[in-house]
Amino acid sequence: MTAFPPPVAPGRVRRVLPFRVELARQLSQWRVRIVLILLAVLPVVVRVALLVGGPPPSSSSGSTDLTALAQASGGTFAAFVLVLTGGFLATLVAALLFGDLIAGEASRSTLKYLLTVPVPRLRLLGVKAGVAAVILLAGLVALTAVALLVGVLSYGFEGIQVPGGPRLGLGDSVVRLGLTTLVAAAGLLWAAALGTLLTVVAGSPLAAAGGVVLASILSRILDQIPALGDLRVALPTHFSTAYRAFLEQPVDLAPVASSVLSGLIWAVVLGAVAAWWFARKDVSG
Amino acid sequence: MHHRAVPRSRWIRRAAAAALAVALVAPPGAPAQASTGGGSVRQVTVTSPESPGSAQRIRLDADLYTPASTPAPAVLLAHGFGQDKTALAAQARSLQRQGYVVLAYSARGFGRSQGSIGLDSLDGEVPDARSMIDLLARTPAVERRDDDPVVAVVGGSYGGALALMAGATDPRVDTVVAAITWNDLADALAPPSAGTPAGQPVLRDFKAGWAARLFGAGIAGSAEPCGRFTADFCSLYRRLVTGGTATAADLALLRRSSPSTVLSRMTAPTLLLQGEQDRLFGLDQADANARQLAAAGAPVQVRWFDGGHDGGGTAGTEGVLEAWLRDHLAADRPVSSRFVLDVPASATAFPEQRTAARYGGLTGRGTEVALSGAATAVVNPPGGLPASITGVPGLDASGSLGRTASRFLAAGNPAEEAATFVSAPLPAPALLAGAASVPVRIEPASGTGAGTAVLYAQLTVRTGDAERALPGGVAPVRLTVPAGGTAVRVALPATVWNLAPGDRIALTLRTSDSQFTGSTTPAAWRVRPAGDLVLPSTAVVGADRTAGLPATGVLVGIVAALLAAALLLAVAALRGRRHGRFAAVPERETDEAPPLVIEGLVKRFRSGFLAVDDVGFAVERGQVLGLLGENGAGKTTTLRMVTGLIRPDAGEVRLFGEPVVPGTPALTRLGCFIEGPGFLPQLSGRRNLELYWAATGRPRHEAHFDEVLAVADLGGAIRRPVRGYSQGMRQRLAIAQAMLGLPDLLVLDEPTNGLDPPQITALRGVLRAYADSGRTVVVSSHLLAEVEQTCSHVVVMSHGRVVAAGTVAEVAGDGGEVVVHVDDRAAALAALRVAGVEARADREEDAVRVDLAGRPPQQVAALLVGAGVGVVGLSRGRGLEDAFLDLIGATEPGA
Repeated sequence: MTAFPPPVAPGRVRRVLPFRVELARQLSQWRVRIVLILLAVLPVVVRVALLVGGPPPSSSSGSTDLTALAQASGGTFAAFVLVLTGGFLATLVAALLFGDLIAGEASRSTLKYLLTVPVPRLRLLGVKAGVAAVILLAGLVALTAVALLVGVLSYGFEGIQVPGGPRLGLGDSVVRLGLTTLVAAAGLLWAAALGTLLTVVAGSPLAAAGGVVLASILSRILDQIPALGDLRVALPTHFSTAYRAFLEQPVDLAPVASSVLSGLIWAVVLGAVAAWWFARKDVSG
Repeated sequence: MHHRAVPRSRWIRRAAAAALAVALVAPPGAPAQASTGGGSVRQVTVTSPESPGSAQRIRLDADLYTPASTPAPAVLLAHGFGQDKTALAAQARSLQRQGYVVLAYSARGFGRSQGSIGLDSLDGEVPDARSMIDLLARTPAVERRDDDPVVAVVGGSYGGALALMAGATDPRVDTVVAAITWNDLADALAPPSAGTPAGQPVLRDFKAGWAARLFGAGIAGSAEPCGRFTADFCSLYRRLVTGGTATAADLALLRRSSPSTVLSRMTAPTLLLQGEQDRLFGLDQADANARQLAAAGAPVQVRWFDGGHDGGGTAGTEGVLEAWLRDHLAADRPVSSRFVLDVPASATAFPEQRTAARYGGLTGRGTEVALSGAATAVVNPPGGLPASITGVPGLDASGSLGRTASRFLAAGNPAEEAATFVSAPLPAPALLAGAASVPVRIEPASGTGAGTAVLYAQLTVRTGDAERALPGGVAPVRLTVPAGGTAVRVALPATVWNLAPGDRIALTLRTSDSQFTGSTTPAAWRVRPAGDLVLPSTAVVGADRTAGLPATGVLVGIVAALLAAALLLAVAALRGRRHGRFAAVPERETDEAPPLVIEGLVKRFRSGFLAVDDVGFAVERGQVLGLLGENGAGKTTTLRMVTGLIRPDAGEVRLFGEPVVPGTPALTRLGCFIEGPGFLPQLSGRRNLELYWAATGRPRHEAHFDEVLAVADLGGAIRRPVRGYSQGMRQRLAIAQAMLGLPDLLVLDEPTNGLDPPQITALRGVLRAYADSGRTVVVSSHLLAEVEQTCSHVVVMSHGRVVAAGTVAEVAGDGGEVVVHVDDRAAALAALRVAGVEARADREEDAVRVDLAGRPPQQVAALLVGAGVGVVGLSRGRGLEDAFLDLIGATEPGA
């Protein structure tokens, strides 16, 4: 029979649950991988759809709609893909990633073993949210990069054709696409924070993700009711199209700042509630 | 002055001074002077002669707003065309709150006022205004200076011209604010040609679209075809709208309703607000007013704003008006010569506000650009139809909705009616401010002889894909063209635009425009620019852009939110560090404390179920403690509290002397397996263990992977994904995970579930060896034999309570009993009774329970065999099972 060496004092604990370990844990899941693959492949799918749909209309002059201009240039295609994705799909991805954080571990029964490592609860939540944020951002960046690549290969090395405006240079367009991606990501702060709260409160990852999606739909519906007037600025999706500012000319920074502020407030409030709740939650199951 | 140019330190000083002033003047909670409510409104009727010298008087309906504090300066408010005094209520109340007496009245022919509409005639509406000023002069609430009432006349459009004419004809008026109004009604409604060759008479067109719209507003609510218009105006309109030419008498009638007739008498300081989005009264009308006022010596300030009859009226100019009244009615400050103009949004720029040192008219120095394009023939079809559409009265083309509507309306414009000439991309940015002009050559084409040519000139700006018409509309050109053709300099409507490098300017000449009467005669003309397009500008000394930039409050909010987030994170980190300090330096002296002490533990679930009720026991080093109890006895709940996963309602758990809270560092010395394994199913067993160990943040050599993998005994399967494992394999892997790092205390909850007997035996040996190495093991189980064979100590739980605790022998009772399995129980009991041995029937049918009372068991066996009873088996001890069943009071054999 195995003989065990006598007990010795455990060495210094450097840092429980290092970031890279959690990154490896999350990336090992197919759910996460599929989300990343989906984001990276989406531009190709859009390109194929445009291919199937036929050649671009001969004259898109004066069009105010990015859809009609999608095939005007590589940069425009990338902008078109971002506009397609930045709204609901990005929210859904954020809901999936953040809704899985704690509820996913609980459903796999791994949560209790992480907590008895012991990983302090706030550290666990913080590292997990950080890793999910990095994955989400990486996914969006991959989407933008692939869209730009597919765009320039298909429609030429030219910048964004602003609907009802000038054609931008390719360098300028790349910067703007980058900023668009960042603002789109900032616009997901509320969804990420709500996902974090729901994943802590709800038992199942799907319930948490579904909750975020439902909240998003509800917020968008309420935002369509003009009678609510200025109350609508409190809705988390009120500034959800702010990321398009960089795809237009001139660039309106006001909604961008409002979007960032709205996202930060939601993130701080919901994140604080999530942390408070998780710190005192009874972990069972 | 642009405010960003002010040095920061000055701003800070000013802000600090302002804050101090507020603190001194207005203690918190005290209402500010300006917002003191009160005041009153009263309806008054003013009578005025029906016409000059007439004995017949008409009654005019008015409201007099008196502020709380009087006497106060007075403001006479005049409304726009088609409105009445009710349209002025909001503005009147706002001015009343600011401390002015306000008289708002319905002009003759509108609302409840009597009389006929004379379009601000010097013989009707203007004397009416003087009657209103008479009333103000009689009102005690109106402030007087040198026995003269302090009065301003303020109005927009219809009211604006009235304000100018009242100000020019009544010396009691102290200041005038006239917005989006005309100078010469004849020029505004029947505009003279935008270009006439020298020596030719000036021909006029008719702005049929806007005129019809105004006429419609004047007949609204009336059953008469002429509505409430005077008979003279009605016949004039009828003549012009049916294609007639304005006669000298018509022009004279219109000029009786024009400020141009009287402005030479104005002395009062005047503010002229003119809208850039205005095809009815363009910037040229304000320019004419300004020139006349300057000639008359009246102090005048001109302001162009992004509005007008085609762009939201006077909305947005309220602040300018209030500031003007504050400086030039309430006070008597000198009028600044500075000229403020709004630059509307272009395809590439936000709206901006520019400031010039002084107003320089419509033809300031600017740039010249060449227009390219060959001479093109344009055709006027018979009847002038279909007419090209460049706009509709009131349609604001500055917004995206208006642009879309305009594009939609213009989609059917006949191409043969238009010729377009485009410039090269502009090399440099430029501000267009004023009336551009371009020489145009016009010749008769294809069968058309000499005659009257009618053309409409418009400028558009092309930015990339987008083409935007410049605000201000089109310039009508009507001139006599000889057979050999003629050249004429065409002045385009005055406008303001931000031209960016790369923009191209296009001049379009059309033969018809839906908003003008035009020509019904079929004709064809060959047109081309005969020179450069002159773009006037103005010398700008300052620019202010607020659109497209985030509000300061939002930026402050972002910083505040980031600070709040940083603060929360810092608090969390601080709390975490205070926690973590123990883990960093494990203190060996606490080893003297027992590995696990539980005292008075209580846990009631939210459903009300009392899962654990006052549980207490201690585990010493080297023990293998069995936690025994039926399903639902509270074993797992107790272990969850031991590991800090759930919080006890009462009581305490101490690990190595340290009280347990969630994530307590002492858990580093504990390995656990609670209620089933949990792994990342898609990873191999080995990868799972490696990631788990990596999560502890401890050095790899402390993990003792070799020993632990030997315990798991998974062989090659350790490299396969966990998803394919059997329950027993997962179970063994989970136990191995719990043993990673060889913790001082190993807690295993039902570890033998799913293991086969050889594995159970092996585990038993592992646990004993583990305890022998100086560590401690706690095993929970509902399997009695398991605990009995593995553990040195046992705690029996039932319904949330500890019912027994001690060594296995203590709990199971001493070894003074044997159970003998016999072939005939009755015979065995009888034989034993005869021998004087105390015995009783066991629960099992074929067994008897014998109290040895010091006898060796073989003696009992011999006794039974001697009595002819067949002994099938003999086992020693009453056994934990019996003790357990006795303790929990069950009647059936336990599972």
